[in-house]
Amino acid sequence: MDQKRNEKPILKIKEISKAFPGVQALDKVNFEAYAGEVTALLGENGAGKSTLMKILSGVYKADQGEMYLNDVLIQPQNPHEAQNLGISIIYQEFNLTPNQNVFTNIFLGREPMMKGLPGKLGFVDKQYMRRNSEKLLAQVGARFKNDRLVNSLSVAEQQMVEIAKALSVQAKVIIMDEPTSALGKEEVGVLFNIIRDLKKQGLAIIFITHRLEEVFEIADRAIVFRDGRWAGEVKVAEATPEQIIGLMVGRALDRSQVHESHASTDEVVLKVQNLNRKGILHNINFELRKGEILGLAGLVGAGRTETARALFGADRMDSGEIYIDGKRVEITSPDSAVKAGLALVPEGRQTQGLVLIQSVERNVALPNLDALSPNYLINRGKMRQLVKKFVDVLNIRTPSLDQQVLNLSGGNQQKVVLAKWLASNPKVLILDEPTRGIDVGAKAEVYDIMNKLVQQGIGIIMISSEMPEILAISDRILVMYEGRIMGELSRADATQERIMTLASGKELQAV
Amino acid sequence: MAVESKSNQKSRKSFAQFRELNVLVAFLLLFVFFYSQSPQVFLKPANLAVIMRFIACFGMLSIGEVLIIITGGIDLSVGSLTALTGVLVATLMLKGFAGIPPIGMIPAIIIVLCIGTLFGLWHGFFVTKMRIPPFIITLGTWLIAKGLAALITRGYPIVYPSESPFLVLGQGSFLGIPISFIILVIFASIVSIILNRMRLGYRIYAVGGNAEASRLSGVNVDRVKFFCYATSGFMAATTGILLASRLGQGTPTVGSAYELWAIAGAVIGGTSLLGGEGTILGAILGAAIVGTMQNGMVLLNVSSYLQDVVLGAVLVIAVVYDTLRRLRK
Repeated sequence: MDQKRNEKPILKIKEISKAFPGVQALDKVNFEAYAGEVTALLGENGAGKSTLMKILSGVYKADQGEMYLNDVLIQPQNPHEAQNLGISIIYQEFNLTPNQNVFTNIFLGREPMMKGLPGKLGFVDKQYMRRNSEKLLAQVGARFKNDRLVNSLSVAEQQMVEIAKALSVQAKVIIMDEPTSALGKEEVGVLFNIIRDLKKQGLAIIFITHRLEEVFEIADRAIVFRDGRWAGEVKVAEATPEQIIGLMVGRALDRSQVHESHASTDEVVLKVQNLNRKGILHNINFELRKGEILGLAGLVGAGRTETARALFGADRMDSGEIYIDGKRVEITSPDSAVKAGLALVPEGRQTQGLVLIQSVERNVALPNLDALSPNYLINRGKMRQLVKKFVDVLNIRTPSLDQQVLNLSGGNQQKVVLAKWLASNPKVLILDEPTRGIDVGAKAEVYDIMNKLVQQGIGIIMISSEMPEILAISDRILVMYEGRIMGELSRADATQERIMTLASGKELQAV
Repeated sequence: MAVESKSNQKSRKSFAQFRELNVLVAFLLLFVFFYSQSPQVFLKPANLAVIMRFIACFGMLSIGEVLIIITGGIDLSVGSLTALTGVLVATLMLKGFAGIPPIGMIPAIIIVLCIGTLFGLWHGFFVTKMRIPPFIITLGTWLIAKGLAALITRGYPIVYPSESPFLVLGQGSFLGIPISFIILVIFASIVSIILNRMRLGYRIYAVGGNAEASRLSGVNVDRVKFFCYATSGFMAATTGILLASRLGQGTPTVGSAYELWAIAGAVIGGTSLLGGEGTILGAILGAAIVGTMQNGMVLLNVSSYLQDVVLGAVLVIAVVYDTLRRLRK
């Protein structure tokens, strides 16, 4: 890119690579950030954005490559070192201690000591903390007192504390990892004002997001990663959204390759009527046909996962009716959902999907214990047979059925979650981000499995944040926004632009 | 990919055996050591019976502890519950309670077992429905039960007449094996079968490994926990009854720190305090190690203070060893 600037980048990343077992998370990426500029870092899930930021902030170590800060080679060994170098990162999940007050949090881990002997004995300088935190809070435009408890602050205010904390180390580079994902519209406006302010003060801001409109509002340059590689860089003032989407998507998934449309039946297997959860879901209505893949699209926080969880009885619904095969079913817990013929592959594979310390066999057997123990006693022969069958069908690569699932790769772990639910012979399978964090080969296998399942007449609901995936796999797409279904798109009508329009809360213009 | 299930089944078995083998070897080494140190006394039937009664007492409590620790909890109440239930069974049989005249042995035992179980259900209620940490709620019962036992007896033991048939439970033997030990073997077998062969057991391990994943797999997590806490209460009542019988009296001062010995037995036997792992066989062997050491040190005239030091050291070594084993994996 022609940057037409004489100044040098304050931060320069050269050919950084990082591999995790089974995944090349970063492959020789380059990245530059300039003082007084906002650099947006874009990319789909799994593109390598977070990995790079973690390397930069000393959480991970790069396998290869170099990083320079003001032309000096840096190798931060831990977050503390990175901070001392002037690199601060604000994570999506805040690192605050909720039961302590604001100024204690701002100086957490770097408490200023009193002068002389008391300081040597370990007494902190509260005066200094109070005075300085006040300055820092003023710098970010905060209007709350510095002795408020963090848990009494709103999310936006907590974020201000995080930013003040980042500033307190004389940061030169501040990384913000999807800072707007938890904020309302007005709060986003406030945040952007703070960012503009920090820019003027000469800081370099790295802004990770997947909301395009924010890039155009706040960023000066945008760098796009794709599959762990540098995919391109644009000057925002000269770029179009289409250009950036093009860089992000790159290889548009070839529809015909992945999927032939299957919704040949008209038989409705699942009907959801007026599903409500106060403040979270509003009047969700939809139908799912046998042998159909219904895509649920929308931004993070739009209510897709919440819909799945309410449907599955994992969260209580306030009102709503659910029909399976035309019959009304009462779903009050996951237990009753399983009995009604539902299955949920949750978004958190390791935290919600698997008992990591247990074997492949135990994990696959877990939802199927009733069927495997007609007289309460487990039929171990039958269990092994069942598990082995689905391990073979799904081609799960494990040295044995007794292997602890924590030793398997992400893709194989996901297939274990699929196996446990396929073994339960469900009528409706809900998949929440089924291919997140697994490698390309495993992804293709998951699509293949989904195709086979719909051919057997199972109805599938798939939640995905990856546009190409949702476009390529779904027969029909529902787009959600703020707990509502904004619109429905048929396979033929669906385009990234239309989904994006609905997902950002706008009605479609007449098609 | 083809899975060679045959060879794997074998390797799993040998691995499972190996885990408890460690504890078994430690136990046998101790046994041989104490035998070599006091060859005249240690192997005498009377002394072996003492050891077995001791194992019966702590082993019983360890069974309940293992179940609860597998689910990621802890039960601190069982020592005090032992005292309370022992006092209650003696009161019901010998003095009567609240104006009701004394009742027979069988109904008294049944009532006391129910009371123990109710305490367990009470814990289960607070842990599952109220989300109170198990440590806290069972610590509360620890104090309450201790206080109640002293209140009921006003601090004095309630002594059984020496000809009472009740005393057979704790003092009698069958084919040279103490009856209390036989009861332990029966209960341990039942719970072992539940854990290893029944769906409830599979669910207990799953809940301990990841409660949320279990819930999302259709497991009724609360019900599983209720079972574990109730069983622990039942085991505490059983121990209380056997102990009252062995001592020939219901006394509020027994059972102090028994919960810690029971936890120690479970941990020495390979139960992970992180949850998800543990076996009944291991816990019984752990209790056997504790029992054998206490007995052996008495025979060797080791001062009781030093006994505590040695047992504490054994516990620490067992936990460190277990942690290292896990880390290596």
